[in-house]
Amino acid sequence: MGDLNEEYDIVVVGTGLTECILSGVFGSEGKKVLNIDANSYYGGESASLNMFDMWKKFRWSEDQRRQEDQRKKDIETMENEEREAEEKRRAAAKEAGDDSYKPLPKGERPPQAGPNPPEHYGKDMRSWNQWHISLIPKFLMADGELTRILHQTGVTNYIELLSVGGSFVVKKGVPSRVPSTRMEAVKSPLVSTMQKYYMQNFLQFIANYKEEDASTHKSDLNLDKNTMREAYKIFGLDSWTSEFIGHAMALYSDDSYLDRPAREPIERIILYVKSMARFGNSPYIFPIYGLGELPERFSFLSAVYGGTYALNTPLQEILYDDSGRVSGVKFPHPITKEETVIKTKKVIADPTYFLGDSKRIRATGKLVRAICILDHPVEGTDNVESAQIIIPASQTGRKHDIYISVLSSVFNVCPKGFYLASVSTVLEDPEGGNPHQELEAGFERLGLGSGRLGEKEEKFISVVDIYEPVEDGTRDNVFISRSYDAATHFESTTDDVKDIYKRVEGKDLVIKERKEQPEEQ
Amino acid sequence: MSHPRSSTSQRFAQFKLVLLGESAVGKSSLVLRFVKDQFDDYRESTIGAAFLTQTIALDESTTVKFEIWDTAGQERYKSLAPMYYRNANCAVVVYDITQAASLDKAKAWVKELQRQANENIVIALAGNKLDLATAQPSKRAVETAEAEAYAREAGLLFFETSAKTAENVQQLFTAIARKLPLDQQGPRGLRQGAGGRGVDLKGGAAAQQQGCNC
Ligand SMILES: Nc1nc2c(ncn2[C@@H]2O[C@H](COP(=O)(O)OP(=O)(O)O)[C@@H](O)[C@H]2O)c(=O)[nH]1
Ligand SMILES: [Mg+2]
Repeated sequence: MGDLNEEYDIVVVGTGLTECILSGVFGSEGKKVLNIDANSYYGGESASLNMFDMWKKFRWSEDQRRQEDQRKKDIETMENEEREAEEKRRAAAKEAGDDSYKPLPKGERPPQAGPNPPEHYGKDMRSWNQWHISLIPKFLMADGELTRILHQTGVTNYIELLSVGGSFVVKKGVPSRVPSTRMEAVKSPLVSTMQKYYMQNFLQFIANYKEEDASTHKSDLNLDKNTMREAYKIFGLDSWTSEFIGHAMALYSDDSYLDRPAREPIERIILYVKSMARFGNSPYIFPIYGLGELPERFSFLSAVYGGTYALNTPLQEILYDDSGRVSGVKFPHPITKEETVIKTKKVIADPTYFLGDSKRIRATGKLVRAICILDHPVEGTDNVESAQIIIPASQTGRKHDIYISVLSSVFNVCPKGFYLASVSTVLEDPEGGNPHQELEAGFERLGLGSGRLGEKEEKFISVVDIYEPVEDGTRDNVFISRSYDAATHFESTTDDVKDIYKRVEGKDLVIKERKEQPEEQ
Repeated sequence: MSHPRSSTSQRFAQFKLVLLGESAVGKSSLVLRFVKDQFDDYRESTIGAAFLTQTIALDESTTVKFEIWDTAGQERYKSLAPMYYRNANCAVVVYDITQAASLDKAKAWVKELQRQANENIVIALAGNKLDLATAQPSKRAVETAEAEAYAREAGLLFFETSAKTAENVQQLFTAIARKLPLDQQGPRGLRQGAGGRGVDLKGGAAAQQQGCNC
């Protein structure tokens, strides 16, 4: 049986979406890639968990989780020992011509360290496996970069995405669909009668804009010189109209963009409108079985190109040569658990492997997220099966928006009758000691205000640190990715993929299109 | 596209089939033999080869299409992604009859499938590399009777196969096709997850509606 190679071109640590895309890309370019992950599942921070793993992550104590990890290792050791002993007995029996050989009964396994989820979520692994709960609340922009990468790499052949039912913004407690065409602007209650004409003009400009065609530009607006605040003014858009454009279309979670050049916000609005135009209803698409599908499918692609994967394999140490550059990595062998050293010149890793190492990563902020299990649809969303709802900061007296995403069983992420909703925002008062309080407006929207929770409902709340690398990695060849940010979509993730690729390779990422379909006979 | 069509006299059904088992027992070789009728002693897994399809005509009016997911080697370090066997309608669990330990690994897979996979999953146990034992009986490490008894007990189809000589390979897949619930509610697999509701990304930016769609 083949074992780990002595040397790899790149060792990728972590199997989050960023890492798996990169690993697939490098694999497709013919590089030898080894991927290790300390977890027993793919996806890291971008994984989807089944109900058992959710329960373990959010409802077990640290101690129980540690015991359970030890138990798994113990069982593995028992299995290995039993198998070896059995092989010896079998061989001996064969040698002696003894036909009565029968394997010995297996030893008793130690009991599970923590409780199972409540029975209304299922009683066994098969039913817990019907839950695919995504840890980060993001959607794909239908015309965004990730969608393009999925298509170009051929991963779309293996994955199925559905259009999300609606994109809403909340004004005075009432959600309304975000208008993205002139017609919708006319009808939208979000746009005041006074503003309709201006909003139509603005959307017309967005729809027609072509960078290379000056006749589609607005003569008095210079995207690189004018700020977005000025751009709104030029189009005659008032403060509420520009607020929902900036927050629900350009998808900025605060107002700092207003005083930056108009180009980026305008490009983001164009992306929104183009994405909207692709499948209607909303600019978003989402994979069946949840976001965890993405890292899993990219890992599959990478494995098809020869990439090697080892889960349950924590990084022990990065080794360096005399010049301070990466020379190898050390980790316990995925099967034998013996200390293993692999030669490599480059390491790509997600920031969670460097927690507490201030030379490697720094925190840029905190998010608070609540994953909610509902037993009812969300009010005010036309009974759609899935939605994005944005509560702009101005509506709650906060500085940052609250994002809500809702998915039903149509996405095969939960059993029929349940809904998964995620509420998240940038934590504004990290010392306040009451992070979930900052989500209250979102909970109210979901019918979970003032701590209300139905018998079969659940809230899994977490505060997550957002990290970025301290260095770009070119000094020592350790390239660290960024945490998944507050945004509702993956555009910053694909920016990070391209950025890391460029740092690693010194040239721009160009994904070759894989035209061929799965082989047919 | 893929539901059994009982309105006409033609029945066509599509199923997701996965291969499981220890590394190097011959999973990819079995697929290659079944789909392309080839065998390669020094096979390197080739790009795109981890997902293949093959059709079997069971009789004049019944066609079964297998959507076959090979492991792309992710099993080597116990790192198969769940996407791989999620929603599988059938599984071929392979061991190597010259390696006793590979049967233990196969049993562990059967247990996992029976605990976690689709309730109605059809599982076949395949003892591969039969040609080696035929040529040199002393090489055999798992007796046919032992594996057969286990398969009967666990409710599995059972064949000893050789990807090299093609012995029993077609039989294995045909037996699976015959055991699949053709008349039940549509089979599920790659394109069935969404019941055909999925969005089509093929068009790319060019095919989408342009400009003002009012
Ligand atoms: N003699 C013999 N060799 C086989 C047979 N099937 C596979 N092999 C060889 O066993 C090795 C592993 O096969 P492969 O299909 O890659 O195994 P996988 O890792 O389970 O996919 C290769 O060298 C094959 O040529 C068989 O039926 N007979
Ligand atoms: Mg193989």
